[in-house]
Amino acid sequence: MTFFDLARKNAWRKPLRTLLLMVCIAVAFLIYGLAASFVAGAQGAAGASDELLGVMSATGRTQPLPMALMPRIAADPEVAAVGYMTRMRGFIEVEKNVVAVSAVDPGLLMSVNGKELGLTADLVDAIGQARENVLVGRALADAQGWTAGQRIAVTTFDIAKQDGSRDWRFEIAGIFEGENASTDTYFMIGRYDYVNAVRARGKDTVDAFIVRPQASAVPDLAAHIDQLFANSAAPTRTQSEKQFLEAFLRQYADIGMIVNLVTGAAFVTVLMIVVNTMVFAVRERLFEIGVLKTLGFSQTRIVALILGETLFVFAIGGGCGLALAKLATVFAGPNLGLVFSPLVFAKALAILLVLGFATGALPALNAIRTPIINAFRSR
Amino acid sequence: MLSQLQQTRVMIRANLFSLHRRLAISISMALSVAIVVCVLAGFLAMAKGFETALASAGSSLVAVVLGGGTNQEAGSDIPASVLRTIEATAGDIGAARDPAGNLVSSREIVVPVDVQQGPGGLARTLALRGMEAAGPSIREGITLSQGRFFTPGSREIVGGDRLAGEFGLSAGDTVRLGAVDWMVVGHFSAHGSAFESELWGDLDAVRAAFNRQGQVQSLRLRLSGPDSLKRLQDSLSTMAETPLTALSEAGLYAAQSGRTASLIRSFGWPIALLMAIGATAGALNTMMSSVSDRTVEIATVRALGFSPLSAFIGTWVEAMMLAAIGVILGLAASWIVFNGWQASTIGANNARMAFQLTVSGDVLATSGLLGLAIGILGGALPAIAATRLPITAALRARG
Repeated sequence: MTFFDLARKNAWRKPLRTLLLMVCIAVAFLIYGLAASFVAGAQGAAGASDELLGVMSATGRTQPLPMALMPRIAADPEVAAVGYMTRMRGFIEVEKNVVAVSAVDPGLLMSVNGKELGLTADLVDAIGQARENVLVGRALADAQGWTAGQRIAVTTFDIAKQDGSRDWRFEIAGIFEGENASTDTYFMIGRYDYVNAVRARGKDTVDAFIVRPQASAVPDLAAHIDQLFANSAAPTRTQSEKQFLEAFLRQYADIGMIVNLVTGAAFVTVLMIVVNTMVFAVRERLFEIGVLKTLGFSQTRIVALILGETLFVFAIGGGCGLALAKLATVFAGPNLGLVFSPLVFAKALAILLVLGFATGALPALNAIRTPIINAFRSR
Repeated sequence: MLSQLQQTRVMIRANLFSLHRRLAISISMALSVAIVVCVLAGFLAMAKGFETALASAGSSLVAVVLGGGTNQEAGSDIPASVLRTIEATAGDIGAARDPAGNLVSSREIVVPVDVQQGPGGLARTLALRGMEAAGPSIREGITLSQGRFFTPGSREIVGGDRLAGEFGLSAGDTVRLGAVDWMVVGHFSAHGSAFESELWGDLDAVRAAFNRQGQVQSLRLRLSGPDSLKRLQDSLSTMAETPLTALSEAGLYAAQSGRTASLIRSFGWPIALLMAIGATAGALNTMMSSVSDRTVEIATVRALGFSPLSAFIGTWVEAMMLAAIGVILGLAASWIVFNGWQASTIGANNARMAFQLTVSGDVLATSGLLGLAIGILGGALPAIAATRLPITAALRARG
């Protein structure tokens, strides 16, 4: 009988107990996998760029900035391209069905973050055909069941038209896919010239300028832009897209803290259960360990035997849990925004190894500390 | 029958008195039950707290009139001509009037504003509500706790108690909202309801500062009686071509709380149930080691003529006792930690809404029952195993 046979036989000595331990561990890692994917996705914050800068009013994200700032931002030698946008929030038919329209200049948007949004020259052409045209993100189009060519009406919450109505008619000119799965595509892109011409208030203002810095740009470009307008009538605040989204999402709930608490609780529970069960399991077979010792097995081998067993239980249980989490992220709708990134997986593996060793250590120590005589007396 | 009872009692005693032999693993079972109970109680308390904050905000004696076919304040717009028609109607429209015969009403508008939480802190979006002088008195349960209310026409604001505490706004401070400075002149208390998350200012000052001249989002009226909402709705429908919606304040806020609260619950339940599965697996393990630890004793008493039932109940009661200890620990911990915990989220007006986690009786009962279920399920299987132990095990033992 080889060493591995011995470890395997030990692990399956009480199959039900081993299975139950694996279930425990699988559940903990399933929770971890889901929670970490949720944070990684955080509804698009993962896909948000660290590079693109958003210039917004310093008095709040809802306050408009005058269009006149644009040439001054564009004149900065460190800025590669500048676009602008006005964000309209509205709903389709029922108020629960909220959608967002970013009104932009399609050509400028293409040069600023066309790559991240997955815009193509064809799409930009298509939206250029008529003022009412919009491009719809893949996630939004799938959720609403829209196809290109369809006409839709969005009732906005705050931007009224000159005739007092809030119903905006659009025609879908195309669907953009986003650069990858983690890109937020739950919105549509409209034309600023149309929105600006028809809206009742706030003409020639924008909600944000989007800046793509030169590759060689200094890291404090954001502070630099803010300095330009520091004492003007419209002071600005410049943040990276990621910073903005994270701060914005944190207002909904401190998701990070809740997730840490919950996964922490799950891991503590599992650790307690597994350590105790393993201590119990090793105590049960003290006699055999005594026999192994008498036969001349070294302490390292006995430790390896017990550690191997816990690691085996952790590997199978954790593997199942992570596989289930991965499955869940595949099957969950795109609007939940779960992203099971390689980083999440790597962290899970690290936790798995650490927990495996930590839980194996105590029973292993117990085993090597028990003198052979005591071990034999236990029977 | 009597002997059956006695046997059971003996077995329960034997089980409980042998607990110290497997103290660590028993404690771990109780603690794992406690953690599951805590997690569920936390989520339920969050949902409950959110509901409480919105439920206590609404009064059924205050009507909110919205325009534009919407039933929430964001997106509502009442044209000035319609407002004049409502104010000029002399007949009984179900709303209360002052001695001079004028409607007791307040035209209102809500603007989201960003305020920094502490120096260099995170910018939070708050709701700034512009209202007429009658606004605070129309609402129920609003009391001034510091300073005074705003003067019409001036850039003065009052803040809810909870908000003022968190953002360090006290009477006499100036705070920059939008492009202009505002003076904080007082605090009001709304008994912890959603109103305390708002800043209130004068309607005209707010409209001027945020380029909303002439705009009115909602009209609040005081109803003349609890059943006059229907009369108001009827008279509004004949009054103007634009669709007007009248609902009670209570109805307005109840509709808002439903979705968020059920979202919190639909996050909390799956997590708690998953953890409960893990904890049940742990409980099964604990109780199986209890049975294997007591194999010799159980087999011996069975050989002496004890019934299988007594062996079953002995083990089962042990499991339930451990789960009950866990439940009590978990409930106590969640009550101490979560009750009154301040939380906030984005509310209906696209602005911050603060609330307090509320560990109420039904929160405690629901999460406690889940904990007990772990003990009942996790104890039953090993208890059956205990009844099936071969009596020969006792004879083979070399204790």
